[in-house]
Amino acid sequence: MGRYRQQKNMLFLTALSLLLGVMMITAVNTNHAGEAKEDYELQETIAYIESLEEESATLQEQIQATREQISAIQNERAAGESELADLMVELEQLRAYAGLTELVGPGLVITMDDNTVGAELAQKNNPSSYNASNYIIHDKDLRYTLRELAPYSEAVAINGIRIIDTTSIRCVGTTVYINATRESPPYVIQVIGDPDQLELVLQNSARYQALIRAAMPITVSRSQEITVPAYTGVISPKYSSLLQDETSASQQGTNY
Amino acid sequence: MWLPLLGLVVGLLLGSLLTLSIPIVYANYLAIAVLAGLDSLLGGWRAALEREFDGPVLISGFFVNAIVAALLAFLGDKVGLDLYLAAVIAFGIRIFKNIGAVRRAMINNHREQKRRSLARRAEQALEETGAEQ
Repeated sequence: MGRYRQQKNMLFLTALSLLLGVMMITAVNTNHAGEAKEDYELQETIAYIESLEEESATLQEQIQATREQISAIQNERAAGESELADLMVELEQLRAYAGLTELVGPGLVITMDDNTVGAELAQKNNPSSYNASNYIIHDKDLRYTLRELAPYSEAVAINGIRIIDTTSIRCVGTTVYINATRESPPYVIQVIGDPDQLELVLQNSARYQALIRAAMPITVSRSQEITVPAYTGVISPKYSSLLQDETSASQQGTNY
Repeated sequence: MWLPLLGLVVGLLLGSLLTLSIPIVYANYLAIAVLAGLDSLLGGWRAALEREFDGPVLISGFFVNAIVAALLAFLGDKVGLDLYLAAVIAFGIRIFKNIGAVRRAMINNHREQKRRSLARRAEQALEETGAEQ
């Protein structure tokens, strides 16, 4: 075993070490690149969702503008024709019932918010039993509350979004999806109706009592003048059509 | 003795300077190959310390083990069985075994040197006393 032999061995080992070093760094780089790519894809999806939401908002504005145009044209036509004028009054009433007009009246304003203070305390004191779900307002809290109030309410809006008969209130991650908009707490529920009656029903509802027991920050206030905005989404029946009489049987399709 | 370690550091620096990267789908295979290479390298160090070093065996072991490990992982992906675990466990155990052997060999070498120098000194002392007589 000469000294020369030893040095040759070490050179072999050194060369392989060099190669291994390059391989290691390449593996690490590749791993990082993978993480970055996943992150990028997520960002892209979020951007896509946001662009769709923007599009949906502009389309809603268009719908609202078009509806206003239609009523303006109908009003113009009706002017001077008393028969039509009566129909126009009825039409306006029906539109109000359908939620297509802004309505004003006395009622109740209920504000529901997440119990962030309680959540922080619980997280600090008992992290093992902490469940974030117990400290936030869920879609079902809104649904059940609205359901309890429904028989006594004439018009309802949450965060300025009109609730109509086909409205869905669904959970989407940390936000709630109402009609076609994502809403986050606090949720301001405006209800037009008899304030006394509404408050009585609310105080007696099981869901409200449960929320109060859970120390959710909820405020209830009566108001003599609540303005509930018009519904701005689409109403497009796919399966139903009006039952038509003989005279107008030739006209197909419905136009709500 | 520390030249291979220096080589590894230079390799790491070189790799980060070149910012090499391979398609993400092959990331697992490269990681397995790195593990196999690390095992071969430690095996080579151990062999050098035990005076059984064989260059061609080391080089062939380095590449063949790395390639076979990567192929095993690839095959595992294709048949839906985590075969790469076999390579991870096998090389993991061998890496620790090799480190253990390297450690023992270094300690033994150190003791051997100490014993020799003591023996030499004793011999010299004996010779000196012999010369005096």
